[in-house]
Amino acid sequence: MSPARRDRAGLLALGLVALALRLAYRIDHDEDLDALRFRLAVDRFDIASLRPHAPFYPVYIGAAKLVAALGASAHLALAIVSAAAGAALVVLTALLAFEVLGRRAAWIAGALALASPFLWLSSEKLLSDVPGAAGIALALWLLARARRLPARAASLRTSALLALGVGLGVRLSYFPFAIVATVVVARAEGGHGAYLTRARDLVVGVVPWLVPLVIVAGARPLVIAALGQGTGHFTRWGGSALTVTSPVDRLHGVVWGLWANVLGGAWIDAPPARWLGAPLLAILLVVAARRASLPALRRQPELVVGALAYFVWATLGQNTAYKPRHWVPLAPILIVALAAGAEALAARFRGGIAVVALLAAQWITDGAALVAAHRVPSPAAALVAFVAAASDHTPIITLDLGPLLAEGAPGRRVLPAPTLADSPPRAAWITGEALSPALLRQLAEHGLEARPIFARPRSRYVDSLWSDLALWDITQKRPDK
Amino acid sequence: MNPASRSPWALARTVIAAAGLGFVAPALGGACLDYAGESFGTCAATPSSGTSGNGDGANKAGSGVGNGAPAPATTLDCGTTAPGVPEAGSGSGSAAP
Repeated sequence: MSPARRDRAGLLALGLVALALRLAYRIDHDEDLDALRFRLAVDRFDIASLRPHAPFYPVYIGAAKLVAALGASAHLALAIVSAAAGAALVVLTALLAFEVLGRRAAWIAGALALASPFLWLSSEKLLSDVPGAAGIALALWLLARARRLPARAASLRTSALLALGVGLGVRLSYFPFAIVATVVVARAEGGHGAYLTRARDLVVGVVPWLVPLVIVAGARPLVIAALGQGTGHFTRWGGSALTVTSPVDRLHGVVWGLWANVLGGAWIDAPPARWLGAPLLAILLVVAARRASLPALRRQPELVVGALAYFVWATLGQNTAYKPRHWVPLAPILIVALAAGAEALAARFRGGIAVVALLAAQWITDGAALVAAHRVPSPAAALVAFVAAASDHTPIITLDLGPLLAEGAPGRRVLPAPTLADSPPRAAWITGEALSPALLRQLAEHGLEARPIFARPRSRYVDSLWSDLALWDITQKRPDK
Repeated sequence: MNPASRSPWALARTVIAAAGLGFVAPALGGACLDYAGESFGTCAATPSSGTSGNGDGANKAGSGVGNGAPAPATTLDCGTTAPGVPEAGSGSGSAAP
């Protein structure tokens, strides 16, 4: 069998194994608020009702709608899109490593991408992160291929920019990659009008989803919803540097997100087995860093500058303090970096490949545990199910769970979280995220207290937010014994 | 200029981009101007939809509490909050017993 044919067979096998693993551990419940909005949007796309939330993800929802049109439920349709994109991402990571580093590194990167607990778990989420990252990886692979095959560079770059344009309709927040690629390609091609021509190619990828979006949603509702949600993202709920202002929290989020989540590294509350893989990870990263020279990095400006630009944007403009999933598009790039380290190690020591094999074994064991835990309803989903099954009609005060409760426990009276100017709530249940220290003090001043009545906590490596969400009962304070 | 940029496919891309922008820019630009011309505070045509996303975790997950502070009033985000509905803090911390 020729090497090229063997490569194709290997990639096909890699993709099929990844797809099978991802489909085997799919979920069929509304895990959190974003996933709920995506599921509702597959049933009925309506931006005025935030089905889904901004920036409306038209390509992602469109893909899920296509699968749903074949007979799948909305949950299954989203799961299939995520699983297929996750499998494609594994293959694309190997292809990217092939273009940047060569055949052996491609096999290493493919194995690590398949084993990566972060990529596996993210592919099980009914969210747009992995489909968006697959689009980025596709574009980066095409651009790296254009560098290796100058005769086909123009058409490969065009394809990459089209993919990035379409990808903006999957996940708009990955825009730094698109901007950097457009500028770098235009700069490399030079000449009059190169910037205009390449910006045009990006626009050609955007038009097929933006025009239908404007027609379906209506220009005015689209503008109103986008402005409102955009402003809200930066001023209230988006977790950008404007609302989560603590540099310590943000730095902690970056380190914890990239090390303990993306790379599956050891952390104080992470699975203990990670301490076995942590030294291997550290070795590969150090060797990769020593191997990376400035000329080598300059050979792949789309990759390097794109990743740096996205890192800066995600660090400041996204909720990276608490949501590691915003690092998903950097995961394939970091895996390629690990493959570079592994290859350099293997060139020096015969046991270099054994390091990769050990790390992959630890990763896939870790990943299997995470996706198995992920199949159980999330703390939020379990709380909603508890409320739906409860026979009494106590109203529920909540800050963020209103839509989940409205869908999962229809008919239950849901109240917005009170301000301190209000009189304290009585005879009500309250979800944990709405229970502030100030509210607890206010309750105590009025002889009231909150007692936990339900919680199904799970690892924050499965749910980074709401991992130990609980339901509390507001009652008269009982005398101290 | 790259020779590929003079091919029929390049021409088709130019036409697609021009037609797309020719439709989208006036539609969204007009809607923006129309919206900007109104009082931002009223948002009469804006449905109430609640907040979006899973919160910013301003009180980190597991801390057990939100911050409870009234959210800063804005006029542009009325598309996501029912007018008149009091808002509480933005924390999305959780609370396990």
